[in-house]
Amino acid sequence: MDKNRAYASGRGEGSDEELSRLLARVPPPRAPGWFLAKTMARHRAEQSQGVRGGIFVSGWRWVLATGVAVVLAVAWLRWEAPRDQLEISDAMLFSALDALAEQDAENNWWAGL
Amino acid sequence: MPVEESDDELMVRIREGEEEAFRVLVERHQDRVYGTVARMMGRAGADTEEVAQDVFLRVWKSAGSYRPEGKFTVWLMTILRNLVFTQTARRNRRREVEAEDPCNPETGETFTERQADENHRSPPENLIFRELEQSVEEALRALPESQRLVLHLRHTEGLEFEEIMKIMGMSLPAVKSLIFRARESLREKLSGYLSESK
Repeated sequence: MDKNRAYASGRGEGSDEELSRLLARVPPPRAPGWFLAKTMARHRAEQSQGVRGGIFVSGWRWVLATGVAVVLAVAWLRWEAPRDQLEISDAMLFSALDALAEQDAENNWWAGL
Repeated sequence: MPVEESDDELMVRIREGEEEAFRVLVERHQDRVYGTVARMMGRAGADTEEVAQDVFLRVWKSAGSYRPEGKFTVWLMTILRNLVFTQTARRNRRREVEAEDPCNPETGETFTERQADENHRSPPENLIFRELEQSVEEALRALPESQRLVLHLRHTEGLEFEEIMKIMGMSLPAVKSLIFRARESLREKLSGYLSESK
């Protein structure tokens, strides 16, 4: 049987009993006796680390959330705070009006009015 | 006698955070996972142990996404495939040059088992077996990792083609082709141990 026919029929992998027997004589290694205990110990260590990590992360989340809340509150207060009113005294107003009148008279003079 | 819980039942309990269910699951599948990882990594040792543990830890973390629609083993092996392929890619990038001793007394694995096996054989038989074992392991190591995995899933784990397709994320012809090529390659490399070489 040529290779292609052996492969296509699926017999290519099933026909060679001798090779299978040979492979079966060298089985893969079994888990060492301590494997279960070590795996469980590692599992517990990761679990406790995860819990600690969780608290740490949630702690940082609290800090972050508080920080963001403070920044927003300050921004809001600054936005809402009454802005300083521009105060113009009477003297300033009248002197400005005088200056305007003076400018107007000067313009008229130059125009020959 | 208490009825043994199915994998799906254990997964439901694991999803609820029951550690005991997780322990039972690890105990049930540890040899399968460890053996597959060892075969894929090309040796048994600390790396293998770590990756095999990673597989189970991932099972715990992903329990929420597990749907008991297919066979649990298929889901487990899919996780294993992802982790092993990632690990081997990382290892290839690092290009670590380490002495690969499959029988490392420090890691402990296989040493005691092997010694126990050896006690049942005569010294010449042991020698022949060690030689055979070494040749098979070398031949398997020489295979591309996809071929090695499908061959292992098919012949050692006894999975169906459809299950292997799901694990590998491949079509049926692709899976068959990988198995066929893997066997051809092994036949060639191990021809000395086969009475009728093609």
